[in-house]
Amino acid sequence: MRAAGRTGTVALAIVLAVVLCASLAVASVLGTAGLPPTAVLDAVLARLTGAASGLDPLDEAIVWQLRLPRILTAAAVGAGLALAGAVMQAVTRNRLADPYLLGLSSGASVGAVGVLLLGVGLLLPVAAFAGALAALALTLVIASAGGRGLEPGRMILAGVAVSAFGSALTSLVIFWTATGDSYREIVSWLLGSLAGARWPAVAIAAGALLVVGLPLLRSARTLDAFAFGDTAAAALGVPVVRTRWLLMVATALLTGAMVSVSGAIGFIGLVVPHAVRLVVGARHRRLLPLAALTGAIVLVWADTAARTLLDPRELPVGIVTAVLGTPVFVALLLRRRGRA
Amino acid sequence: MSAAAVVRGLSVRLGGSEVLHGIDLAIEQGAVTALLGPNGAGKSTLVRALAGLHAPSAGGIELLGRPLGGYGRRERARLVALLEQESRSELPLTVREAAALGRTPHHDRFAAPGTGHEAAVEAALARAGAAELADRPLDELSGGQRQRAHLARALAQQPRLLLLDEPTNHLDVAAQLATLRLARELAAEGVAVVAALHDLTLAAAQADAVAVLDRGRLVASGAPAEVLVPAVIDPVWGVRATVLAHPSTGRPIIAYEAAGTEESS
Repeated sequence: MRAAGRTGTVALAIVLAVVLCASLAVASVLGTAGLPPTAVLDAVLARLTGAASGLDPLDEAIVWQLRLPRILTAAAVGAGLALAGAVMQAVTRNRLADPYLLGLSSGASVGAVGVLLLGVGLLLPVAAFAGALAALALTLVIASAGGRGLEPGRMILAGVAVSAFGSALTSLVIFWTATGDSYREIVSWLLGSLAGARWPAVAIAAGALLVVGLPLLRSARTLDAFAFGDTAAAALGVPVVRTRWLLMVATALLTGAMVSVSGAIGFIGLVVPHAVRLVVGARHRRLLPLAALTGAIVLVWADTAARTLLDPRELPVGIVTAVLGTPVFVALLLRRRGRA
Repeated sequence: MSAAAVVRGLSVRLGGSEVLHGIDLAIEQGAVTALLGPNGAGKSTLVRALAGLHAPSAGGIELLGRPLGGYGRRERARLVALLEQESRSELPLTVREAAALGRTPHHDRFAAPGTGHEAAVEAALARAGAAELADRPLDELSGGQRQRAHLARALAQQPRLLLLDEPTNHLDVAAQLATLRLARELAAEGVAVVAALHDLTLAAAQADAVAVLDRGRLVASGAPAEVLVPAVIDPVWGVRATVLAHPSTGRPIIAYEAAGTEESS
């Protein structure tokens, strides 16, 4: 029900948190290796207590070094992208806004592709993050050129331009230099993949979620005030220009961190906030936390599908989210048109 | 009556050109002041300047005895509410949610959300005649109903100065009157109401004072019957006006002809 009050929000958040925990547990035993259902619990307990897990060492390694970090990264990235998308849609007042709107993903791609071709995989997150920040800076410079402040329409157009430029640059680099394995590796990264996520990826994604994502939750009331535009927000006492800069940069940092560990996974940041808004309404104090939880659950399952559907081959998770997200998005659009 | 806001020698520049030139105007407490003028006269700019959203290039505005620029943003938003011409949202907000936005400047960032806000929102909804619409989504409402929701948002702000920028556009006659009746009720309680209007007869009937703007200058201000005379109206709007007195209220009723037309006998 749309009119759900504060208690309704807390109850929904608890339900989603439980679903998320259950999803983490179930997803971690699904997969190629055919692990016993309790393997994850055993492995985690063994780590925490220092006792032997009683698991086959190979199974334990699969759980601890591959499965768990990958699933936790999926949860953190899903939460981060959904949150970033919800904030971006509010700040630009554009329903089609997503976290990559300001050219972030194409900037990250340029950085990542460069590093992949040079074969220094360890630097991948750093290079992708640097690329995302460079793209952000370029977009903001273009959008605010002429000294007219950050106006959403100009920001979106500047982002489109930077995205196109970044894509062209990436394509050029691939076209000239990539061959065989590096080509597949690059394409997989460009489509978004969590296959390479280990504990450092968990640290980056969860760290960004804590350091940037949690403070973003506190901006809910300010985001609400943007509902009727900049003038209305200013008349409600919101410092419009400063707030927009701050929120754009925070969203970009969050998105950049997520892209750096997973590539540009599409549709989570676009579709999840829409779907959650339909259920809980548009006020951000409800929307932001519930969208983050939903995004986490969706990406955990999307990634599980990506690694199990075509077993033993693996799909880039970006393909799964696109295949799932496109029909959902179309359905949301049709539904809205029916109402208007 | 004392002035809620005093505009002194106010000039405002927008995008490099001066839009308001040296406006002097007192906005009385407990009165409805109508801003009149053709399109582009500067009505909206003056309304926004009164809300503190345009910095003066010369002169200034005093709000309740203090320079408007000296107020903090939130402090100012607790005293001045602005209703824009066309308020639309991409978001599926309900009427109650839209009204609750009016509480934004009253929320203390560090305090727990209190029930005082909810009471203020419910009171504003009731006052604006939007109580029975409270759970309806804004985008399913008629123009008049949506206007009540926006009025509720402005009322939830509990302003001392209420600014309405062409609040009667796109409304049918009954909804126009309902909006201005509410404005008069608020004025009777001591709120200063400023409404930019197009309909001179409506302004003459409902406002306590009118101010006529033309190309960024204040042409005349005062009681409707004194200001709304052909000598003021004709040059500003480029028409030939005939002013009649309402048979029962005595307020001016204005009829127009195109400036060049010959009077038919």
